[in-house]
Amino acid sequence: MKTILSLITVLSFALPSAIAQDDAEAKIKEIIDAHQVKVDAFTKEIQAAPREDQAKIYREKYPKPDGAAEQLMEIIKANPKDPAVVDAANWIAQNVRGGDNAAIADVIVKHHLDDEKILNFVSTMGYNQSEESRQFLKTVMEKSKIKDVRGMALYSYAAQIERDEKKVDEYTTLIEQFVKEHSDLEMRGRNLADRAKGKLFAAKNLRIGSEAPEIVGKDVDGNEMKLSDYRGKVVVIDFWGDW
Amino acid sequence: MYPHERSLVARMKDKPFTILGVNSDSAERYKKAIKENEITWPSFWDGGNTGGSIATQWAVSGWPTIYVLDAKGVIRYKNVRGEAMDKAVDALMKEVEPF
Repeated sequence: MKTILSLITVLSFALPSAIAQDDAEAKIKEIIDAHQVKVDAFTKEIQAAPREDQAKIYREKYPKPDGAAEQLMEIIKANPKDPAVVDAANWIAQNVRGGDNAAIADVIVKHHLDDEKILNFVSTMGYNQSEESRQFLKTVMEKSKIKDVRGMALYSYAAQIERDEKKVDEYTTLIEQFVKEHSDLEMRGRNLADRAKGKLFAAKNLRIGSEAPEIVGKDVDGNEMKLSDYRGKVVVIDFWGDW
Repeated sequence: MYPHERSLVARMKDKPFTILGVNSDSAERYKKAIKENEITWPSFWDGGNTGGSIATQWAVSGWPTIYVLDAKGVIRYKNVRGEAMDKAVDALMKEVEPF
């Protein structure tokens, strides 16, 4: 009896607050997969429903990511050094708007700066306008040993100040540096340097008060047309699509 | 979007004004859209997807994106919609035709 009791005591003390490494990885996968099952079921239901009911179903049944995010967050906090928590971080950043990104950013800076997989998390931080995000991106830019990760941080940092007309010069410098050093970096199949060049062009030429740059193109039947053909008229340029 | 643009174009008929689209649809879809929505104003056709050369050069990341240019070709307003677009256009029309 005494032995059993002491065994229990030992066991309960031995229970680590952090889950063993493989377990964290498996648990993260389990949570993400379980949420995906809900999303798939939801998608099926909404596709099968008549069009007029779809908005209602969407409002009422869209599987919120909050529960899964909370569980993932606990795992991240309990196992900050585990490489698998980067997957959890990416998932939260992509699925939860305004999630607890500051706490995750902290874990990443401390333990995962040199993990290539943080690329996704870093890219979403470009859209998350805040002083903490900027600090995080700056740290990644300066300290990560992975070139693509540094590039992504630079691009995302620039995205943070893109709309600040007072920071056009800083923005220009950053984008020029990005285009020079990271011309091969791609995200979701798009070359970022090409997009960056567009952004640079926009920062320089598409400000209120600047003369609109010429557009030379064709209509859908192949007839040439130019923006300058419409000088003398007030023009509403409308980038549009029928979707 | 279409009904508002149609009414703006109608209101500015015979005045020095145009909407100039940059369209990112496939050619078929674009042609269908102009027919179904009575789109009478011209558009550049940007190659069939959102990664077209004009949209890329102009760093467009959301659709629709709007620029309003005065008669000299200077960018005066960005991303004005609905009533705000009407006001912007009216203000610029006054510069062309003060009376």
